[in-house]
Amino acid sequence: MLKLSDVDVFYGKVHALKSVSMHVEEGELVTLIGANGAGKSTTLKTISGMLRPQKGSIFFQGERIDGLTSEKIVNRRIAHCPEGRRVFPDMSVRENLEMGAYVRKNKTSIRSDLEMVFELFPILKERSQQDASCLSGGEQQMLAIGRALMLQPLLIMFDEPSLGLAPIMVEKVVEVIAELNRRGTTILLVEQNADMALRLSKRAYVLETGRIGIEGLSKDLLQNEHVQKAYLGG
Amino acid sequence: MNRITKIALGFVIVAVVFLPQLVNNNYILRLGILAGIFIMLASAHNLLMKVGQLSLGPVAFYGLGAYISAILSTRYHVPFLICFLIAGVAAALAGWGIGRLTLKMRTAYFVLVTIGFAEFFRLVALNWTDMTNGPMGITAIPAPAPWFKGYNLYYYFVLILVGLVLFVLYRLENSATGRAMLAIRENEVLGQSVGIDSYRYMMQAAVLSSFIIGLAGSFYAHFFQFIGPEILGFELTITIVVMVIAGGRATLAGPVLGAILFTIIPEVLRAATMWRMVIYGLLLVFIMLFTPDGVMPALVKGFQKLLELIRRRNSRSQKEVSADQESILADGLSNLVATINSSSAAEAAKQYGNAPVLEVDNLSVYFGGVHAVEKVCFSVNPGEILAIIGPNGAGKTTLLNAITRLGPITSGVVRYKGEEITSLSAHEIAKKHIVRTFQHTSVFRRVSTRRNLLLAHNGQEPNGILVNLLQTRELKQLEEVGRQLAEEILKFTGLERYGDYPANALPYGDQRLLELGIALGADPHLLLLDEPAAGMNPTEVDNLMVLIRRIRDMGITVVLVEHDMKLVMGISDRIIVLHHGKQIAMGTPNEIKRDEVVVNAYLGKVYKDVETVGC
Repeated sequence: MLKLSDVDVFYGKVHALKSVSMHVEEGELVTLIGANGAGKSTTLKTISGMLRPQKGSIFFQGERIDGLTSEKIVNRRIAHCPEGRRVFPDMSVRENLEMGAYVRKNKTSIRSDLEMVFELFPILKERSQQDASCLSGGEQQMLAIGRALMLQPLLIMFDEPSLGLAPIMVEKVVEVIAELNRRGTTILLVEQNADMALRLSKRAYVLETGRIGIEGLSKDLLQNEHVQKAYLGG
Repeated sequence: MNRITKIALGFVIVAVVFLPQLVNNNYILRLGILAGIFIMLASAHNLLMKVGQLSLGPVAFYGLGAYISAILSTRYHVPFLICFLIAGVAAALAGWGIGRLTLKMRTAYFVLVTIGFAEFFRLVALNWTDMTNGPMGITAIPAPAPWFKGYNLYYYFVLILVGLVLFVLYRLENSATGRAMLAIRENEVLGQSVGIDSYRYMMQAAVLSSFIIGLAGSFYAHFFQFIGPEILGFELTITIVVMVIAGGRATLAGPVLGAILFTIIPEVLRAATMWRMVIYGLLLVFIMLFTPDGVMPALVKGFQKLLELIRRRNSRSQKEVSADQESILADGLSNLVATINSSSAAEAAKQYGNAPVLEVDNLSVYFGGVHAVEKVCFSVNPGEILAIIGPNGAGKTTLLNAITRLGPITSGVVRYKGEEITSLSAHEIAKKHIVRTFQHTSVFRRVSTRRNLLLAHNGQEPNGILVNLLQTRELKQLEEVGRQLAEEILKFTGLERYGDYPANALPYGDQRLLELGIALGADPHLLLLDEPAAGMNPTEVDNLMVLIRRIRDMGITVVLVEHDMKLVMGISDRIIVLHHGKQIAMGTPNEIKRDEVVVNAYLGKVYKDVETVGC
């Protein structure tokens, strides 16, 4: 479904991604782990068109998407749920969710998706008229996920959904991601909480200083000595 | 500054100084004098912009200076130099008054009040005919002295004046004041949290800026020997703002170039008669379109590129900057902690004894009907690591904000070493060596990593304008301490390789590390950390735990808000649990882990299999 081949990305002079190749199949839950600064967020930003690769190609459903602008990529139903609970602070919860469906036309299906998001996160329904800035951190994270869902995405990319959440909320987010995947959404998950990510996913890539270091089945990586030492805290 | 730049600058200075001899043309000299006045106006205006304030009333101070000088010299025959100084002081006083009235409210209000103030002065000048001659204006304003004849003298007078103004501004920009202003513009809250008194610096900028503008007004009156209410018009304000923005507001040279350009361009365009304003407008649009940061930075950038091209031709080998990095938290961090003014923290700890460092007594914070923090009581012992945990929205950050006075307190008392600090402001608390970090990464984003750490030390440096102008030895010594500290922090955080990169170019985790570096740079005795481990993987968290313990070992007391249970359970001496603003539990890690209420509200079932790392 998604395929990156030999992608190179630079931030100014900094060589952030070095010939990264990876793929995500339809219905899969794939995770990308790595240290800070290894290029995980950069990879997601490159896929969603916020950064342009200097070299290499990105294909989505057989069509080349690198070089397209972010709006065009969103139109292909790739949702990017960015790091750090980005919401529109001065809009209400409902307006935030409706922004997620900005590129969609069909009003009835938007409404039914809104109900679906409310069913998934009842707290958002309760607070649908409040400004997003009034929500607690965990609620904002749910809102960001909900907004990504409103795109009716074929692929969702999560960038550290557990960041700054209470343990009990992390559980909730994990449940939601697993549930989405069960319902058939393809997911690419970037997570510092490597243990959680590897338990949740089927396959995983390990990014090390801009290169794919290790790839394989998540259950194998959990046993991998190097991964344990570098990312799971020994 | 390299050699080529120096030579170029030398040529420019020689040309400017000998302009009267070189051209011997009154029209051009007159333009030169006008440009000089505009340079003063634009540079002074830029000073306010440097603290992030947009004034739309510089003409008020300009007009005030001009009218006071004109009235004093025509009616009361006061000698020029005295008029000139009085004009400056009067404008400075007006600037001080407006600052007192509006700078606490900031931005939008400040803009509106300055517009109103300028309009008020225009109406006074127009209607107080007894004093100002109304729309007729004041004529026959005497020259500075009877022997002041010919444009040459005026030209040199304004040249010296501009030289002095630029010298003062340059000195300030390269002192603690300049750095503090940069910090305020980039991230005012973070600035306050390391002890920078933003209100004071804004007042300094307002007063100095209006003083310079008042002087320029006085000079203008005595040069043209006629003034009318037109000089208080809105058009002039726009011209000044355009000069600053188009020239480039980030630099000292920007407004100078802007002032020169926009004095010359309208003159050149005179030939185009009816198309003049159209061309002028288009030119402005193009300048802003192609050099959004202003002409000056664009020129500098172009010049640097050219130099680099030349250099590259000379040596083909070019070093590639690589993002390669190992774990960001190097073991060497222990050395950092050793070099941080630990002596200061350790010394203070030794003298202080064993009584609680921080006491929070019945603290409540209400936002309307929301009780964010409700009657919280706890104390922190010296050398302790105290963790505050609780669900998202439980009021943890609100509590930290209340303690550091970056947020409101509804009732209750906070004491630091027995002294009540509830009534202090944020920067005063930082000066007491209580320093915090923020949940959402908070750094001076567009400033280089090294400079970020210099700014961190700024709260400990003197903030008087005179001290900074004279660059006293005491200031230099403190600056040196800050510089050394910055280098040490850079080295041992492993952020050294990023020294010259702007902070926002750093990967997220490194920005978090820089944030910690900034807090350490402010010389803390009590360090409040808001989710320091967010966005770190388990291995990095392990390193962070080592670091926090070492920070504690150097005599710094640590309070931390955190969701990472491995870190919390691993390093805390005691834990406080907040839920819906109320304190629901307090105890050692082992007590908290077994607390039924805490497990249900916060820890959840998954937590059961997490092992505690020995303390």
